[in-house]
Amino acid sequence: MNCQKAGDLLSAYIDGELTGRHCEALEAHVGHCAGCREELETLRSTIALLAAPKTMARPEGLLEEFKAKYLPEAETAAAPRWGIWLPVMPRFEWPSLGRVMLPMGGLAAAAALLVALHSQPLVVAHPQGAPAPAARTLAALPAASTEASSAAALAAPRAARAEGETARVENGARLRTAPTGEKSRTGFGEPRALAALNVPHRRSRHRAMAFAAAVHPHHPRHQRPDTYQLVVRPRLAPPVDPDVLKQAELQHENAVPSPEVQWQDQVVMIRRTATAAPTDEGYGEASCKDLVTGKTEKSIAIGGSPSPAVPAGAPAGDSGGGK
Amino acid sequence: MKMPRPSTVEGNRTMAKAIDTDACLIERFARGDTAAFDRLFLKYQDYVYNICLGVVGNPEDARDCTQETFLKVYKNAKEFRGQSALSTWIYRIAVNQCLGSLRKRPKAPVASLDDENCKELPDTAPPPWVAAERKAEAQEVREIMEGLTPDYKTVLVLRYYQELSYEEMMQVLGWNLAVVKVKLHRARQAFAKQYAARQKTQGATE
Repeated sequence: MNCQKAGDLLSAYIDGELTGRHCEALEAHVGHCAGCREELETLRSTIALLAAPKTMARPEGLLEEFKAKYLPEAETAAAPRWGIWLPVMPRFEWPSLGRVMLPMGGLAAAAALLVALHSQPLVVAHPQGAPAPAARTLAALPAASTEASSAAALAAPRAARAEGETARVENGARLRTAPTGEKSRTGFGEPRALAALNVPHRRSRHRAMAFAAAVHPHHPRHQRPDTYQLVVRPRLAPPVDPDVLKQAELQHENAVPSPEVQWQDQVVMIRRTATAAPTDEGYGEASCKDLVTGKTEKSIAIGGSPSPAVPAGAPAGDSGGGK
Repeated sequence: MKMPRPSTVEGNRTMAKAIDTDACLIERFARGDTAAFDRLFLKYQDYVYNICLGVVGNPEDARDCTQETFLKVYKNAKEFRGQSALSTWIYRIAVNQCLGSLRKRPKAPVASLDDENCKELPDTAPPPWVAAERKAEAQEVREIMEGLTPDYKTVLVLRYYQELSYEEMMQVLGWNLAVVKVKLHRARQAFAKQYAARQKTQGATE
């Protein structure tokens, strides 16, 4: 530590604000540096002198003097001798958009009326652009004293501004949704697109977002109602006449099966035996057992003239045994 | 020579009451109660006068500065937001007023070594029990301080005459803590140098 730095730290040391290694370093330096030691002592005595208790001076008559001399001067100086007093205009609040939208229909009517009176060409309106040229013509026309025109003139800038904003929003929303296609199906109004627009007022921004949502193709307003819900009701069977029912039962019971059905009903089992040795005439022998009676019949010749005596007990279906 | 300090410095009940009264007074005056201003004036006139006397030097200028200070307080009471204590606000106005008047004063001998001008108690006779050497010491201190630059003089007056803390000095002077400490240190060093010089000359003459 050199003398210059020690000199800077002396005041803090005397006040007791010096701590740690700075304090130790300063004490070490003061220990071996006579000049700094002397400076320290001088500073201590100076502070003692300054900090000695002092008597306070008490002036008298200040308040009276103040009131008598200073205050009247100030008051005369404050009030202007020549001055123009401007009447303070009350704060005018633009009507909110909702209340403005209503007379917009009347705005066109007022514009038409004024146009008729003054016979000036009115720019024919694109529906979105209707307020703007109307406002321009209203501004161009001499100041009319009618209430409608004044109200319209007041409402027109706000409405025009709002229309401009919403038109911008609409364009922004359409441009946003068109190229992305499938990807833009997440929500209605894309907040990012709207945040990029500098819509100043909270109210206008809210309305802009609502408008953007309303024009979005996925809004329920734009869904086509072509899918109808199919309501299937169970059809009840027509009531049956009991006579008709009985007749049908009788018919069912007395029905005679057709020959095919009869033949199929019979259970015929063909037991195959060994192949019959061929006889002289060239035909084999086949036997057939009837399951019902248990008899075995042999057929004499196959392919020959059928034997005149058909064994009894066999039902008519025996002729088919020669297979 | 203690003056009302903000209640955050000491948890003193009477101090807190004083601050409540301060806030009440200024509030009442802002609403139009002139009696509140009178009470405020009487409460702070001594402190403000002593600050002005310490910085400016002579009693007449000190009176003028005091009146100007209270005039500004009268006019700007509505602008007092309560960000600082009322006392520091008033002292700030007083210090700025005094430094302004010092600047306007011609640079000709400011430190008049005449005893009449440098008397500490101009209007009242000094009480008899005040030791002569103490009076001489105080006189000498006053004389030395006259020779200092306005900044150093102000810092010394606020620290040793009004006994403000570092925070209050920061508020009154508008400096940060480091600047206040450095200025105080340099003011002490300057005072010490002048005092040593005086002692040498006095020793030489004696």
